[in-house]
Amino acid sequence: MDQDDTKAYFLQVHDTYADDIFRFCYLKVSNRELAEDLTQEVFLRFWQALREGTTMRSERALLYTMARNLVIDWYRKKKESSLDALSEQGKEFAGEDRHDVEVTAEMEEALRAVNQLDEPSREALLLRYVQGFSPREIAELSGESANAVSVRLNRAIKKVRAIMHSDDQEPHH
Amino acid sequence: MTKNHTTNPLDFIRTLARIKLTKDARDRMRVVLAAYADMHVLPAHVPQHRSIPNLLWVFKKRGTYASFAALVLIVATGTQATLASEKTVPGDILYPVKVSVAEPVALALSTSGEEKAELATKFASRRVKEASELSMQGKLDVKTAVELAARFDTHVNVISKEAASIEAKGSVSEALVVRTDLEKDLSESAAAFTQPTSDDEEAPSENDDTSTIFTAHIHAKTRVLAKEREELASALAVQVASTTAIAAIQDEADEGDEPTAALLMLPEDEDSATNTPATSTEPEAATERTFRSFFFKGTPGSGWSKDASSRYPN
Repeated sequence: MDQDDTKAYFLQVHDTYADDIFRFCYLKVSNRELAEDLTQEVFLRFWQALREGTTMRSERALLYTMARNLVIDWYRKKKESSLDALSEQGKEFAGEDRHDVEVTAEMEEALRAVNQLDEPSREALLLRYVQGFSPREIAELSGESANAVSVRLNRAIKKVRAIMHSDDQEPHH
Repeated sequence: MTKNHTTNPLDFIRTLARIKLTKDARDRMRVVLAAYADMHVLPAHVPQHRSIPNLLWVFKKRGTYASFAALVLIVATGTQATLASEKTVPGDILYPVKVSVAEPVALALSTSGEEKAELATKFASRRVKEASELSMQGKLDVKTAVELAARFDTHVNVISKEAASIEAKGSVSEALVVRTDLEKDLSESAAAFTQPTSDDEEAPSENDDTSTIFTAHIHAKTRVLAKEREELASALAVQVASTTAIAAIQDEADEGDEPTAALLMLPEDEDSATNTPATSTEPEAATERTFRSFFFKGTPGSGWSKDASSRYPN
């Protein structure tokens, strides 16, 4: 492919996956601006990968891998700069970012529920039911076995159900 | 959870799929990505990292170890021969020393991409000047013109390659300088070339045809480069339009689009067009002066002054 074709393909990939990658980042960092920056960086790296002739089985897998690594890097940097900020991570959705994304009451509840999960379960659950990954695809991304992912997903669903149930019994937050 | 909602936790979680980029953010990102893609073009081929140890390779590729023998000779006899070969034209005894030894060696010994590109630019304008001189003497035959054009293309390819790899490293403004430099140099050389053939009515007609073809080739090549440079410049403009240094480069680049008009006003070039080969390095020196004054000094007007020429003796 020449420059023009590759560029067209690149922008097509952006149009297809920009929202998915943004959502993935947003759900991890819970800050709209930061999620946008990370998303853009993912696509810039994707272009570099195209330039370097990186072989890829699927552009989606590569994009998510890049996004995941960027988020991990970001957390690492953040950890270095501010240790105490880390403990608050992932639990800010209903707070400061209320106006960032049009978050409905229903979504807020969902976020609150999944944010009570441990990070691997949270990621697996969101990838499976929000981003539409198969357990095998999640396994490839996280480096686990597909079986382990399935087990993790089942437990996570049970846990979310329990959280919802307990919320029903205690309506106040 | 005071509201009625689905009891299925999955439906619940799926509501999060509604999270999206705003249209604004999405469009903005798309523009940035498109500009980035323009700026960091796909490499035409995998860049080869060649350096000093590959010096012998230069000769091997040409299949002439005789050139290597000539190099040994030059080393043995000092640099006199290479210096003497500087002003030779095709047909002279020392001309092969210049194009097969002195220039490739200089190129192989240069370390940075910018240095290589600058040298190749110098060599490319030398080829044009050689053709110009032969043409004035009525000695430019088709074979020599083709050979010079081929050598010219080789130099231009080196420049393009170096510019591309500078771009690949992310130094877009430097790549732009390399490209602008090249384009300007070539435009001016090509314009200088057309001068004598149009003025000199004693030139044989066959010679005229040959030089016309040669000039057309140089012009075509220069136009391609101008296009590449414009693309690079516009990509750069998107990102760092505010940088004044870049603005200066672009201004000069725009001026470079009309090389003939600019050149005809310069007395140095008229001299070189009608003079003997002994003064033939003058336009080259002038071009280099402009390059330096435009891009490193940022004072376009002073490029042609006597001060500048004494600052940068050739």
